[in-house]
Amino acid sequence: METWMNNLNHWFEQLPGLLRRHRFSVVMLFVLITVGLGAGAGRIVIDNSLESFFRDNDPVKKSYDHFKTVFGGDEYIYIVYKAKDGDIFSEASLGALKGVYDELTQYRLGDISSEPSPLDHIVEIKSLINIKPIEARGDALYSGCLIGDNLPGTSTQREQLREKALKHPDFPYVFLSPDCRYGGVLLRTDFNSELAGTEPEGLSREAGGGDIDDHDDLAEPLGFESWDGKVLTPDFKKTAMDEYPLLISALRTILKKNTYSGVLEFHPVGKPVLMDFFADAVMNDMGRIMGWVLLLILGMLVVLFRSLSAVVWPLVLIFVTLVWVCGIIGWSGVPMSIMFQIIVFLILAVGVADAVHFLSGYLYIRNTGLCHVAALDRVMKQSGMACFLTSLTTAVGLFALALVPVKPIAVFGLFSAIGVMTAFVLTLVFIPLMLDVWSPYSSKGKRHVRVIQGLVGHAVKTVTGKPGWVIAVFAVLCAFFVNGLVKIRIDSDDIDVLKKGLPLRESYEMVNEYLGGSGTMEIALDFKTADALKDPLVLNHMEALQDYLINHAGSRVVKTQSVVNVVKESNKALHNGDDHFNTIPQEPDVLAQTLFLFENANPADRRRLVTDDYAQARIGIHSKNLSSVSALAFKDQVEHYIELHFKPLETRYPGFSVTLTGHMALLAAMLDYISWSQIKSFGLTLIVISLILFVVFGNAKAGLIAVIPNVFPIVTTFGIMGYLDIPLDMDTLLIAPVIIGLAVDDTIHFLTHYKLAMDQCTTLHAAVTHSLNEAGHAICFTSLILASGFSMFVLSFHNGLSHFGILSAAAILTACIADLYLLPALCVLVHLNFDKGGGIEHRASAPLTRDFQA
Amino acid sequence: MKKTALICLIMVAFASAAAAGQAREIMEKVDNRNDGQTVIAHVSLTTFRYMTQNGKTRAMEQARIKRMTFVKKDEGPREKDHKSVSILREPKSEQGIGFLQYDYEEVGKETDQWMYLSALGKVKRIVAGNDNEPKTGSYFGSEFNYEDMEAYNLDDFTYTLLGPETYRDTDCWVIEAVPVLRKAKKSNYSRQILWIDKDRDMILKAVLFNRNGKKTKIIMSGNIETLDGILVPRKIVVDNVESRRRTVLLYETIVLNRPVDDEFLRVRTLTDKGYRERKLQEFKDLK
Repeated sequence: METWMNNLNHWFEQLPGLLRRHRFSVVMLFVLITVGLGAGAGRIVIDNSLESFFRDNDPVKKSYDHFKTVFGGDEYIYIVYKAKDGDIFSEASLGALKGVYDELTQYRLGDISSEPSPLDHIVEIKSLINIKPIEARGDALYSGCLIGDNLPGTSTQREQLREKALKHPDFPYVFLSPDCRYGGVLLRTDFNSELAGTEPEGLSREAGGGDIDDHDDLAEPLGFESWDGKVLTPDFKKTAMDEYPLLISALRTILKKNTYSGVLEFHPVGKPVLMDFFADAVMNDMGRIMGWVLLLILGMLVVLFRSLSAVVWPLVLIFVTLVWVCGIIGWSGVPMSIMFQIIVFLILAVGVADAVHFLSGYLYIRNTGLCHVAALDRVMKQSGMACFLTSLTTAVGLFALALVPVKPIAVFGLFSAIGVMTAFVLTLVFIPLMLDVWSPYSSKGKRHVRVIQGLVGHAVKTVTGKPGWVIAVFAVLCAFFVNGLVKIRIDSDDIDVLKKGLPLRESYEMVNEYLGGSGTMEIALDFKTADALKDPLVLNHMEALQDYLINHAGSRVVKTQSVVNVVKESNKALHNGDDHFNTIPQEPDVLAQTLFLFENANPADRRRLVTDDYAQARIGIHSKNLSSVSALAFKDQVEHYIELHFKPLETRYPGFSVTLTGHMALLAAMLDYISWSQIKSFGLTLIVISLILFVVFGNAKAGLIAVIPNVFPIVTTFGIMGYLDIPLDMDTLLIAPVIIGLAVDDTIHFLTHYKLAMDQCTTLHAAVTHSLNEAGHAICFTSLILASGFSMFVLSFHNGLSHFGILSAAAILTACIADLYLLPALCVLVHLNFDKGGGIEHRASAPLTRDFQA
Repeated sequence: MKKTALICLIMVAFASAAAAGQAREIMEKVDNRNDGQTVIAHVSLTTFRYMTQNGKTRAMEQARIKRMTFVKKDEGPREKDHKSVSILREPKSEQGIGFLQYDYEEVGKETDQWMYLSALGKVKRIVAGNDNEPKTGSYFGSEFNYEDMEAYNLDDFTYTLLGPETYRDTDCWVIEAVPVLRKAKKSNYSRQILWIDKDRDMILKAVLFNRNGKKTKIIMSGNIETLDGILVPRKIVVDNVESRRRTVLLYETIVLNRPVDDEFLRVRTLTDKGYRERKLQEFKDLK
């Protein structure tokens, strides 16, 4: 091991000379790579939808995908509107609604060009204008639109309309609020639900040829091959990410027109809206936050080095690293989540830290009187290895996240690990060349940052004076924070993460307060027998379940929708609108024919509720928004009910299955993943880092001691979260592995210096003092950069990211304190001497070296 | 140069006008083709989902079959009004369900429709409402919707001749039919492309585009036979390329131009099974 490390040290030392000899080819090569990768940076796509959190082979996701293949896609845009005059049935409000409806349905009237329009993705629109209640008048069944083309002309007609809409069992909370101040328009899109594969593309308007039927054998009974009994699952076309913003922008253009926006206030929600929001918001947010971070870094570099080149070179390095990593991400085609911001930040932070280590080391050596070339070789030898190790441990910490089953976390882990190593490689290659061209060295000499110096001085004094006390204080603090840690709540809420006051959050709050709620869940029932859904017994059970969903204690369910609803409505209509017949017909033939009426009237709606063979059905649930914890509790409750009450169906339909899926089921699954991921990623990181430290320092005691100051900040941070009731969610989940990856850098720097000091000093105290003085400043400085950088995330629109930033900042500062006080105190207390200084005594140290050189 | 361009433009304009005129003429011939004044038939409707894998299209489930008796009579000055009755015979649970329908050539006059649900013993008149909305209903739960089954009104469309093409070894005209605004507002389709048999004036295939401009359905006519001197496609296939479902309508037995009493095309035929079966006995020799 020692030889290997020596070889590596030697290689780092030789590197500047090697690079100098081939500087033109090296620069050219890197410029070419930068340009090539840079071209891919624009291809980065953002997908922060809940579904994107799951891997394709995840059973929860697969079950949801299967549901969608059976009942069709479910990417809806739900436009909630508020009447500015307080009544959606006023003449003005209905007029505006009709206007919007016409624009969305008739945008192609008179235009038969093949030019695609983003609005083509809207395949169905439902609003008060065109929803069709089935009504009975005398012997006639009316299935016309609620409003249709002719808007009611008098207030009496409008009141009748209001009454009709409010009385309908399925319209309130979806198309209107009970107080008629809010309304809803439901747009179904074809996103991710267009069947893939069979249609030859590019049918030209002129030719119209190339259809599948051209090879059909019409002499065959069905036109082509009959069913061979195999269960086949169709594929869907995946929607390109840029389709979402295009549709939303086309929609907003219509909604913003004065004629409509003057009368109604529109609040679109739904997955396409979220996708559009995140695509935009993440990039804007990042621009703002990273702007501040850069400014901060700039300021710190100026304070530290007071040299233009020492400011310019790190910035150039950061920029190039960013281009590389963004290029790699872009070309990989892997969609990014909101965590993309953290990747970028980490690259900035780690890039600066690497550059600072090299530059401060270089200046330190130059100040000892060495010439440029010799100083460069020396710093490459000394800092090269330290930076390699710190980058490696950080990357390992991050890479451990790649094993987490939650996709954005895994993606974050992978690309941030790549980013950290890229930053290291680029620093290693370019710093020597940069310093050759323009060195920050000035004969004016030393720089001091007083606050930091004071802190380091205090640490030295305390640690060497009262190591036992230091450890005792940390132990008490640790106990205090462990008490908070056990209170930590694991939860995830995809609306709550948006900051209050954001228009999108307000829209969702509106949906939850006045309409059917933004939480959805699906119950998929598969009876494995054709026509099972024509059995009154089955429908009775479904009805009882739907009643339970709405009426059970503490229910937040506002609406349920299934074939039962339409059967009851049709039955009532068939009996002249008599409320007594708002029931499920109990004779199978009557039920079958009632279903026939529905199928005949609206086959598309029927397909979304029950399969063609009537073997499978779904119950759609709308509830007020639920977080992961409540979603899981609700899911358990429903499963329990089904287990208890659906037993009688087993004899008639052996093997029937009931699956809970949809948004809430995904949220509930997240809960498990978050807690499990946390333990797994954190534990793994800890083990791997301990192993690396053990290998590097060749000492088990050192490896063990090094872990303690890195666990402390995690315990502290989670303790704070527990006390302040900040939930552990998708974003705060990242704190532990990210912080441990970064914090361990300081530990490595200290221990490296400490190990070297052991060779030079006669006492443990002297070694501690020496190494704190040497490494303490850099530890404080990089911690300050990181902490203030992390705290900039407080500016984000995203609560999760804000929490992550503030807590990470706190963790970094805690880690810094632990490295300055706890780690040296531990070294002193356990007599860590790397088996070198057998004669070293635990006694008072040599005088402190005060002139710390940056 | 400018002059030449102008002449070219004028020529193109004339050519387009001529093509439109010719297209309309072709469609008139199609419209005027004798398809019999009455139709009495046993029809099966077979519906199933399909998919294409490795270039091969196949059914992906057991097909569902509905069988019915269908009687239709053309009326009105141009025999362009239609009265029809359809009674389901299979499946058993839907046996006896019937529809009586009157379609009118007159623009704006809505279809009259009555439905009889045998299990409830009730006749209901179905009123769709006179909205400028596409009809959503399906014909006996098949992929045909009521618009597909409606009489074709020539004036509802403007036509463009796209050119000649051979389709299924038959010389065809390919014509694009675009609904006029009045029709477009309430149609499920934004345009259609039709393949018309040059010799037999018959639509062999229609490709229909939905309101979003995407191809949605292909309707094909096959098994064309001549019965009593009248061309009859005994098989009509509708392929819903969006939902990947196909319905095959097959005239299992059919007779044309038999006299059908006006009395038979009334509500009583739906409700009075004895009467209905007695009358149908008169057409025993269905081919």
